[in-house]
Amino acid sequence: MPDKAMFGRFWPGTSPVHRMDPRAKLLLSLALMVATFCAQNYGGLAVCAAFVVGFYAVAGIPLGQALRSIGPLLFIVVVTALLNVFFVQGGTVYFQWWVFCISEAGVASAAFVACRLLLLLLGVSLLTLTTTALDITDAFEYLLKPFARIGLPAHELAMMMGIALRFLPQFAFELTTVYRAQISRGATFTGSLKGRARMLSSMMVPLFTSAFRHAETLSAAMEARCYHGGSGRTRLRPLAYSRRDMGGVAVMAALFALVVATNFLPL
Amino acid sequence: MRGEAAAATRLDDRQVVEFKGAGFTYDGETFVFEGLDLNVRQGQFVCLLGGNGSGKSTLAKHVNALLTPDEGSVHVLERDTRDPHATYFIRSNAGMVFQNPDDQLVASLVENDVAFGPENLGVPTSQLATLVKRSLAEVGLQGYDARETNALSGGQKQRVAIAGVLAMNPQILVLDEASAMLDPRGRAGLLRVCQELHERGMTIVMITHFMEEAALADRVVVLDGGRVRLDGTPEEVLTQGELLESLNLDMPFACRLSLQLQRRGVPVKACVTDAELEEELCRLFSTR
Amino acid sequence: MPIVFDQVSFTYEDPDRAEKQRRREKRRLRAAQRAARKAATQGQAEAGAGPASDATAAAPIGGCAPSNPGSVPAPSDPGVSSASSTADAAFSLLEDVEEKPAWGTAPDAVWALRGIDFTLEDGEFFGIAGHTGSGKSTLIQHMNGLVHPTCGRVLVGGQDLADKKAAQALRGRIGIVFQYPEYQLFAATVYDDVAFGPRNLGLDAPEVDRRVRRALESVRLDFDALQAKSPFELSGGQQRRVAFAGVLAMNPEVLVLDEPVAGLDPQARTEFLQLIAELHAQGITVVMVSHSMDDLALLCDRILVLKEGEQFALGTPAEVFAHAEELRAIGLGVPAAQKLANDLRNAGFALPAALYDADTLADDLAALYQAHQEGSHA
Repeated sequence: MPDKAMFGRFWPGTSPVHRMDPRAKLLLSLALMVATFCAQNYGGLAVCAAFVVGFYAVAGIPLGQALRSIGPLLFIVVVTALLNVFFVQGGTVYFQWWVFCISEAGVASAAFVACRLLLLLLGVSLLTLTTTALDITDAFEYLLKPFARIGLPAHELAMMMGIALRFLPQFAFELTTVYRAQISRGATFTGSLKGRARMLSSMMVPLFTSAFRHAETLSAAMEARCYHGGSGRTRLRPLAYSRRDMGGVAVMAALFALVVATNFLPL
Repeated sequence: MRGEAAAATRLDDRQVVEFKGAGFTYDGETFVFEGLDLNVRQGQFVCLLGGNGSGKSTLAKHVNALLTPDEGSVHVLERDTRDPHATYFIRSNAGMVFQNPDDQLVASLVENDVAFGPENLGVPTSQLATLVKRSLAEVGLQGYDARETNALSGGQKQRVAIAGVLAMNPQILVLDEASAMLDPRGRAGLLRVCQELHERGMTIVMITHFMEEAALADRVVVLDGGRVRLDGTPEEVLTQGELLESLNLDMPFACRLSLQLQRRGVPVKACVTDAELEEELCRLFSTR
Repeated sequence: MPIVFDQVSFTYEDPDRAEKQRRREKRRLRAAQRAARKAATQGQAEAGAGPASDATAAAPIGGCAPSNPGSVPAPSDPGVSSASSTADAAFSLLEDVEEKPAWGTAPDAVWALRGIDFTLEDGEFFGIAGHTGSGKSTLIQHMNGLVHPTCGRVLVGGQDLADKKAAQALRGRIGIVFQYPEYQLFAATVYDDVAFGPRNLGLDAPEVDRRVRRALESVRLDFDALQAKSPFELSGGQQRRVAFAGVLAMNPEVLVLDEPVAGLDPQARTEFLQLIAELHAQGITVVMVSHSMDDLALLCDRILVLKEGEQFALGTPAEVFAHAEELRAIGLGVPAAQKLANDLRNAGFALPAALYDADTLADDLAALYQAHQEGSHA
């Protein structure tokens, strides 16, 4: 029941985007990012934006929800834009005070970078909105597999990610309980530095001991169910590429071609 | 692994768990249990009772080869638990469910968690989906495949844990205080699942301190300080009021009441379940 | 210092947002239905069916309307009276969609508490029973202002807990022991952990020391042997006692206990319940949440039974457990003695309808037997 879209939250659906192989989606999101960086002018960005909007339409996610989902990350856009405003100089100077100077080039670059970042975030958000965390984890494991030969523990990393995702809501719940319990014992966040430190430790120590307790039983439970690493494991839902993914690749190739073409247009 | 399991099921009426003079110590000094002899027959529903520190949880972990004895031996399905080649055979055949429902589920989705065991055993993908469906049906959670494990109640989580064990086709199910943290409804559901599995031939070793659960077993074993103090049918064991009390254990309510009645001169036999006592009283009052 | 619950309702969701969400969903559904109807009427070559359901039923928006969320006012506008049977069907479909207050999983739950109204008297031993997810934990967290009612008021000693200052001041006087309180231990020594509360109250060192000693004493832990130990070295039962002492050291007038004996073995259970009974005997008001009807029947003056966030029953144990059938219907038990007595009464035994424990039931059964013997000899 997603009553609101949040960054990193899954928006259930059965659209072609939802049903794409998570590996393909992961790689294509990377490609989308690269494409937005390739775009050198507003024409290129417009092409990217058109495609992103198109993807959201195909995925059946209202654009308003999509924008809301990246809401909490907008500060990144704002901070980057501000940095550009103050550090890129050139052209007419609009405002100057002490070391701060706002110029035409700064504003232009800030606007461009903000647009680019916005598209980037929308692209990443599309991945997490249409792919469950579990699938993303699986995709990571598959994609990292080739690196196992040089000693990268791909399976273990993915397993760790999976377990972390599984325990995240649990820890959030436990933290709330501990917080309320300590508040009931008169703890406050205000007051002296020492008092605040004590309050913090009264929350963090129980959280850590709980994590260790969970880890101890969980490892025994996994062992009891014959877990012995990734070798010889089969999968309930093995990943498989389909024609849909080829379609995705084709669309992305078209996007690249258009973006590169716009770079040569006099815009 | 599968072939071995099939061969093993042909034998009837044999001991599936054998502790022979087993001893275990965590620190090399104090033994949790020592010289322990305990056998469990195939198809038996055994309840292990004991106060805190009686060694019952340590004992349970021996059945699953999570721990191996420092002295004597433990055989599960005629395989020595210390034999490293037998480890996965034993673990897949003696499934284990732990106390805390929040600690033992590995995956975020129910189906992935149930499939975890067979995935580790290398069961082909083509069979996994059927295994998951069947195991969930066996614990009464049909259609829960795509649910998130975090959103389940404690009782449901424990049943998912059992399904995860059943997916490995075990012959023995070990429950280590699996009902201790559940509410009465969750506990009743868990018990019903265990009884159904038992009726279909599963050997069940259940550790608990709820006497009403013990009353439903075939056999009750009371541990104290790493030793077997009482061993017999629920009627034989649970009526030992004073001894149980000295071991920090209760009696089921029906037991307590029938002993109280005896003390007041009502000639009832010591009963362990309500239904039995009710029957006994009806019989008593109908005779002239 | 009585605690008054004045028509308290609580929801984890922002009711305004929940309401908006509900309306949004309704609109979406209606649009889909309109499209479907359009398709159907086009087939009948008659497009006369008016847009009946356009008259948006103005559901109570936001604020406090802790009625059943499914009970959207019926479409009684005159404009709707011409609604065809398809529109009626559409509405019943609408209600089907809405009437799904799935309890148990917090995000789906709409009202965690609804219309809770009772007064906790001084010196009372008050029991709260109900399923997991029936709102017990939410209810007790209202008692010291950790959670504020969405509507209604909680008054402690006449002061409204919605007033943050009052809530802060009263917090030390109402001690809550959460479920599995040993999981909240954090300090390096038992002494420091128990002293956490008193120090937060701003007491001076000698007074803190006095309170820690007395608190550890009242949970029957040896101060000298344990005070310098790490709480994590102790056994589970001892850890729970330390956590308990941590709340007692605040000198609460009301002690609120959430499942205080969950997960303990039988002997530790008995000891702990004795301890609670003693504290109550010393004059502390006790509120105890428990799954064990036996414990509640044994200790409580009054019992509140919650069902899906609503008050299902409130009264003395004898009053509450007289309704064994109703309790069983919502999946809650009755004390073991009461259950057996009920079963025997149904089987034809002439047992009076009283609250039984093992002793009294044995007495009555023995008396019945005596009478039966004499009757059959005569």
